[in-house]
Amino acid sequence: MSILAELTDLCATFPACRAVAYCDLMTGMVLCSSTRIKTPQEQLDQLGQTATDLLDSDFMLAGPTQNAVLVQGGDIWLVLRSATQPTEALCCECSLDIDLDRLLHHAARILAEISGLT
Amino acid sequence: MTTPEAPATDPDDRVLDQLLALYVAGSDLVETGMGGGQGSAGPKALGALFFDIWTTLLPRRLIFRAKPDGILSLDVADRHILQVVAASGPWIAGLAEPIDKIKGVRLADPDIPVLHTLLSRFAASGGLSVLQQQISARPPDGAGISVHVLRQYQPPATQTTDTLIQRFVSSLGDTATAVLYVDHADHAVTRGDTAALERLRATLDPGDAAGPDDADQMMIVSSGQSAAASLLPEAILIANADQGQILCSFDARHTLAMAGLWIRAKRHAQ
Repeated sequence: MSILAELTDLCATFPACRAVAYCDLMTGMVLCSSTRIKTPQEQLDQLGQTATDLLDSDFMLAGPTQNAVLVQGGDIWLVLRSATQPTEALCCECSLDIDLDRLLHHAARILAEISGLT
Repeated sequence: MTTPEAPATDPDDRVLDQLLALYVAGSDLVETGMGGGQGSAGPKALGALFFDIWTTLLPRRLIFRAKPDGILSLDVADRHILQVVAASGPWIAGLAEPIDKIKGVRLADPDIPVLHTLLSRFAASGGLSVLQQQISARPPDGAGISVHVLRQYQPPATQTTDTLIQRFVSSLGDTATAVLYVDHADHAVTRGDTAALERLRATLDPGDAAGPDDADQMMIVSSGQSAAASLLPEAILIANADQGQILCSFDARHTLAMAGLWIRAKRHAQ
């Protein structure tokens, strides 16, 4: 499956997931994305920036930040760093009724597959 | 020395027995029975707390403990609460200011709403136990707040004291290894070992505390790395809400559980 097909499949599986983006953490750029509704480029760029901000900040953790959850207002962002391509990440933007546990496992699986493609 | 009389309508003689044992042993510190509500939480624990105050006639310092790390120390005599001596632990999150106003001062009827909120919140922590310590000074007649009056006090129906942060903290249990909460007036509530708290303090950014008009925000970052390999935490939660900031360190395996606790607290607080 292509990267776009994987991302589209994730959005289709989780109705509460509004957008998912595969990002380059070095530049904050969105490499590929899928959204439930037509989304302006600035908002997609913001997903890439959110992923970079969350994963590349220094929070004095035991190791590099591997994943992050951000909850603000009625929105939740889940960001996962690729285990094999540490400068790439998946960022999902969802509403609060998302099944976070299922999303995390699903996103981690497709991120592993996508990272294998690049 | 007189012994406290047991409540006429309550068959639980355990408290009286223990106080008699204290008298015989000559100790000034004893663990009492929490009126049958030891270890419980919520209304039953609040009832047990009232019961212990009710059974205290001689001047005593009652030191209540709650899980985790909660302390509420009250001077009590003649079934009246005379003063709040100490209050600490995660349960006071968001209550630091009202507690400061009544701590160490002789309580009077206008303090009933705050005191009721204080006891209710403490009782909600669960896992309660109590120690009793003799105090020497006998209070003047009519001083303090009667436990009867306090028990009958009904908070206004519209009054909601639980903020998002308070709800979140009370739901944490033992999930977090360290907790640091700082409100807008720089009152700090802490829990956990000193080293873990120092690391949280280093992450704390006073400028990031949510202002009155800001939306609440919660962020969890997780390294997924074993804590055994480093003294640094595996995961940190940073949240701004209710004009304060809270930081928790925890095992990265609890990342989703922590996010879930925050979302549930958020739903209930709305």
